[in-house]
Amino acid sequence: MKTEVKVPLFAEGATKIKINQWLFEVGDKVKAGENLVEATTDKISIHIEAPTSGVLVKKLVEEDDTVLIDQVIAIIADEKED
Amino acid sequence: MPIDIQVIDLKEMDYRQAFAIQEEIIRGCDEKIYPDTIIFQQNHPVITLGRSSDLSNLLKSEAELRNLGIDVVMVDRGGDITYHGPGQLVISVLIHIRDYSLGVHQYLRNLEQAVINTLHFYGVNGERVQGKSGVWVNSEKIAATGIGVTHGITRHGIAINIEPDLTHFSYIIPCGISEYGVTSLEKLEISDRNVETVKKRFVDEFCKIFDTAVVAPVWKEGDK
Repeated sequence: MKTEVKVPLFAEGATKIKINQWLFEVGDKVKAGENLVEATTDKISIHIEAPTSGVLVKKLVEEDDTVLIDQVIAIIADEKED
Repeated sequence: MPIDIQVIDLKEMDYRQAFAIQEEIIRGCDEKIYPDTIIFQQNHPVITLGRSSDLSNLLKSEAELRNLGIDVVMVDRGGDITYHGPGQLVISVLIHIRDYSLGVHQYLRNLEQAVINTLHFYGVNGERVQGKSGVWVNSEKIAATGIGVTHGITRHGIAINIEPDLTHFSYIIPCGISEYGVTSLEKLEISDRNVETVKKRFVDEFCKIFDTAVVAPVWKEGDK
């Protein structure tokens, strides 16, 4: 099963939400609740966490990209999947 | 229904020690051991640098600052450089932001409003300045904000200048804004500025704005 990682609704700010840093690479195993990405808006640092455990199979945005709330930024797949 | 909040007063404490306690309480909040939390503290003189700090806003070297008795610490909040010291009330707010249906922008505005309402008790007209965070009086900053959100829990918060040594702010460009100064209740000649009263008034205003209710503290110093 594949799970989308979305920008949380609470990240809504007056300014754009910027992706600062990915904390995992594609292919890495991640655990539910681990911080995947660090973003900022309104000078507020926000960690976006993994919604489920699995393998980070795709990053859909790059560092320095701006994103919207609820935007899908990554895909996590079950470990058994290819 | 109001959300429970505990209020913890660390009094005057070294920034690093207070930071460690904040992290411990955040873990407890994340594990639902602790309710949402307001932490009050006053720090020994320290300059903190946020994730987006520009080192050119630090106007003395770390060595010079340490000689002046001012510590320098990197912290995991947004924002630029700021100063904390005795006479400044640092208020950290650790809340599960999703439970309040708030975006970070509105959260920050609510936090500023709690300070603006608190200042009204002193006849001080605190304002927001378009495009800048914090609370301002006559174009000088009286309260600075800096927050982060991890696991949906807010950290750090807002610091109100009651009677800090304002000369210490001259060693930095606070928050990277050079054209405005800083002020305090003392500089505004508010003689009745008891810090314990400020804390009580802030909590009252915070509870009204965020619809929270103070509960007996669950965290006790020495908890692990």
